[in-house]
Amino acid sequence: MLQCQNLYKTFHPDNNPLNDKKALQGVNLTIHDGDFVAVIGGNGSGKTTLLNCIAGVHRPDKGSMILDGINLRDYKEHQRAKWIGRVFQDPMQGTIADISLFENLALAAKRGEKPSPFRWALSKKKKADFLALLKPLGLGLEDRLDAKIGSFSGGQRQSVTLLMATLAKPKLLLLDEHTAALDPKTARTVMELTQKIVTENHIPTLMITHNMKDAIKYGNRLIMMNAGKIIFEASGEEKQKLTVEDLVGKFAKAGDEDLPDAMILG
Amino acid sequence: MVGIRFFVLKEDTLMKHGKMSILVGTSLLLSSLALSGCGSSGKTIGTLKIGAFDALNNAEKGFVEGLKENGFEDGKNITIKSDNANGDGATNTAMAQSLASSCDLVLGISTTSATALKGAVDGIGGSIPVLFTAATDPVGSGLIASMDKPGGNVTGTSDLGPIEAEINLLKKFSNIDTVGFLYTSSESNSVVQLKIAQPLVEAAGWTFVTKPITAATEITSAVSSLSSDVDVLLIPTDNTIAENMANVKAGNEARTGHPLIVAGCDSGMIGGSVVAMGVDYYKLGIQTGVMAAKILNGTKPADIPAEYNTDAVLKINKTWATSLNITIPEAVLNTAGAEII
Amino acid sequence: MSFELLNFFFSPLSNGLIFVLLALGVFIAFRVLDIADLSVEGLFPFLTVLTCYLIRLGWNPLLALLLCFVLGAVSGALNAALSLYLKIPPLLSGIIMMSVDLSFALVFIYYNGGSPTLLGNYPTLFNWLSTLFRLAGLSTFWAVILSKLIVVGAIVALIMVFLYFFFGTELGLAIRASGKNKQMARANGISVKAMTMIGLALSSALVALAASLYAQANLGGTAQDGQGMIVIGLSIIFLGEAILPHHTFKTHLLAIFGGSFIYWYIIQLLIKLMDYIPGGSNYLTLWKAILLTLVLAVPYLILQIKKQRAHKKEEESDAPMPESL
Repeated sequence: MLQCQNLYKTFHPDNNPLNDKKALQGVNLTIHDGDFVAVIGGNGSGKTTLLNCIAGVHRPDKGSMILDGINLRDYKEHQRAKWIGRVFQDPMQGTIADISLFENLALAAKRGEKPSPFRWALSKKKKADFLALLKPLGLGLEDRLDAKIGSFSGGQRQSVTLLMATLAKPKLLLLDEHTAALDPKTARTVMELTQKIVTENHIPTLMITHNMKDAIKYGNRLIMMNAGKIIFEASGEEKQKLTVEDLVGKFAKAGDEDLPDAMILG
Repeated sequence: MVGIRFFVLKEDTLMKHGKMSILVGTSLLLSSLALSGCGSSGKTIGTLKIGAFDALNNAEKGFVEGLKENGFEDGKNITIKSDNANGDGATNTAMAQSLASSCDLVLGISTTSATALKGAVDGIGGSIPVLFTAATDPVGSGLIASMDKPGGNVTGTSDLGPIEAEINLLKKFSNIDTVGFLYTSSESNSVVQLKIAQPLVEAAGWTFVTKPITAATEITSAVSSLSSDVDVLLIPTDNTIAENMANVKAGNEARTGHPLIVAGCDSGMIGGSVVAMGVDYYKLGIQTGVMAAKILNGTKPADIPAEYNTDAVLKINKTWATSLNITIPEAVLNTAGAEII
Repeated sequence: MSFELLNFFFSPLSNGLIFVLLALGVFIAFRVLDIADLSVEGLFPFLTVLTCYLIRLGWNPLLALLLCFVLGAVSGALNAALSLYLKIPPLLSGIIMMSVDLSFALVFIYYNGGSPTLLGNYPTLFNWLSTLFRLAGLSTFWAVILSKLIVVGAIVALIMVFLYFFFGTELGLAIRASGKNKQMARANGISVKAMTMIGLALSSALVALAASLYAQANLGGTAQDGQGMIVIGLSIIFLGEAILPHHTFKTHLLAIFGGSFIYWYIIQLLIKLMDYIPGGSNYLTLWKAILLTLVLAVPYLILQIKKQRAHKKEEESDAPMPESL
């Protein structure tokens, strides 16, 4: 369970207070085990900052983040990686292109443990384990364990990153618009895969998406952010019944009329 | 798609093998040339300098002249191979090994080149004569056992400046309390001269102050910023400073009211010195060429004592001294052989 | 066989082996960690001078080598610490360490009263073996060259085997990941800071080994020894990559190994060529640049021409055959 209370974060790009960016202005969010939360909001609403604060990329100015009793503030970004899996928007970011799929997976499998100079990174046993993991996905990845990730398509890379993020049984999964850079068909595949992995492994998930249809369709909860605050929440049946028009309307009410077309058209 | 990919891959391998065969082929060709093309006219003499510094270039020219004066001319009865390591240590070694294995006599212009040549000759178990010039401390660097009895197959000329003579000359000036020593800290030969100068200066009852620089760009400010207590600026045979005497001049002229009596140990430094006594690298080269001629005529290197610059020149820049309001004592101006400009 | 020919083929081997270590050190910093480490140019002369200075004082050459290895690791770790903990840009921290290392070289030159040489009867890592060979009846030439090749060869083999296995361990993979994608490394629980420190320490330690061996092989150390070392290291890496296959990390190491020999044979060729051009070696640096460009560019250009021809052929074969012939 993740409990975020009273999160505040302001960015100061220079000495001019007029340029300060108040990214988070008092965010309270609790994610229970089994939750799959979709987060939507316009540019600058604070959703990415929220994710980054939880991940440890930024330090919030105020507020607390407790994950299963662990005070995240006490840990650096790479230390939090033990409990938190992430998938980024850029397919290039989550994997290393120059090394093989096998090596990428090996890195992810050891997430959270200190890398040892006395153990091999790759082994026959690991290969067998990964093959067993990749086969049921039906993506053909099991045949390409030794291929360099650079030769994979964007959709394949995001699938791999997703797998890697969930390999070491994280307590929390953070998805930052992870299908935004993919074509609709591939995005669909990755979203289905996401759904599958999240439900099968019961991983609490926070997913930022720009696609309102996806936000309604996937997950059991939806939150909408604007100007650093959560302005609307829906869950369960209420969430399923929402339509894109409903959401657009809520945005307008909050004064955020300038939504990017991609969000509305989904 | 797959077909073209395969084609390109094959080209890749071809290209890689192609590169290898170009290299192998050329080296075989050249080495056969090497075998055939050497020793066409009489003995082969190889010269190696660490870099193209004025001093070293002059020594090289003098060497060729010294040989010529004694009947040995390049292209006529000897072949001279001259190599320049371009300041690169590893190239210096490679060139030394190449010369040591293909010549009858070698000359190292600078301690580094001479060391490499001696090492290379020893390395092939050879005993060809190794000459050195422009090496400031041949005994300390292990090239020879002593100046009088070099021992072995090495001899040559040292460019150690006449520091003692220069200090004796400076004693004739009045009101000297502190002597500053300007040198490039990365130049080994300058460090050697520092160690020689310090006790001599202190024995004369003066204070010794060192002013190291790391690059030519620092010279002007180093000279101008020396404390006003300093009276004399002593400069060893330092490659970097020798090539930038204009900066020394500028730095000294910027010291309104406290000009330094600049004393250079390389007569070529007169452009920025009040007195410059010492090594004329061209003449040093000639001395070395004379030695080489002796060796080619049958004398063993072990029987030829190593030499310092015999024609130590004294130049006095009276014009500049006057413009700086420095009075040069008559005793100095009357030194035999002094060249006053 | 004349000495000239023997020297032509054998002397690049000795430099080639020593510079494999330098190139590997530069490779780990520049390629694996993606850090432009300029400290090499100061570390190299520091340790050549130190090696000669210590041996002249009576130190055992192997101990001198080991001390240099440790000092190299320290220099690399300090370099990393400056940029990671004091937020000094890595390029600048490398320059700072270069200056620090070089100033130590100058200190030892000062105390030695000039650049130290090992001419004379000073022990080196090689002369115990060359003495043995001479006693066994080999000529001086063979005794010296074989002793160098064997000793340096053994050290290089040891190091390459070590690297081969090290970069296959979890730690090795983590270091490689940190160099390639810091964000991803962190997201996978890797402390990029720790990996960088270990990596740079290893890199500088390898450069240090090369420096100490170089000093003992060339019997001297001067403050100018570092000049151009980074360029040589990078040239070896690029040459190796251009000519030899390097798809996996392990073959990459082998490509660098090969690259060093290719580089030194090219230099040897150039030096021989210079003998036939009066005053030629004054332009050695220019010739080096031209030859390296040719070795890299000509095959690429030939490949492009061949590709174009293949393209044309495809187009022509698509054109319909003329009715009458």
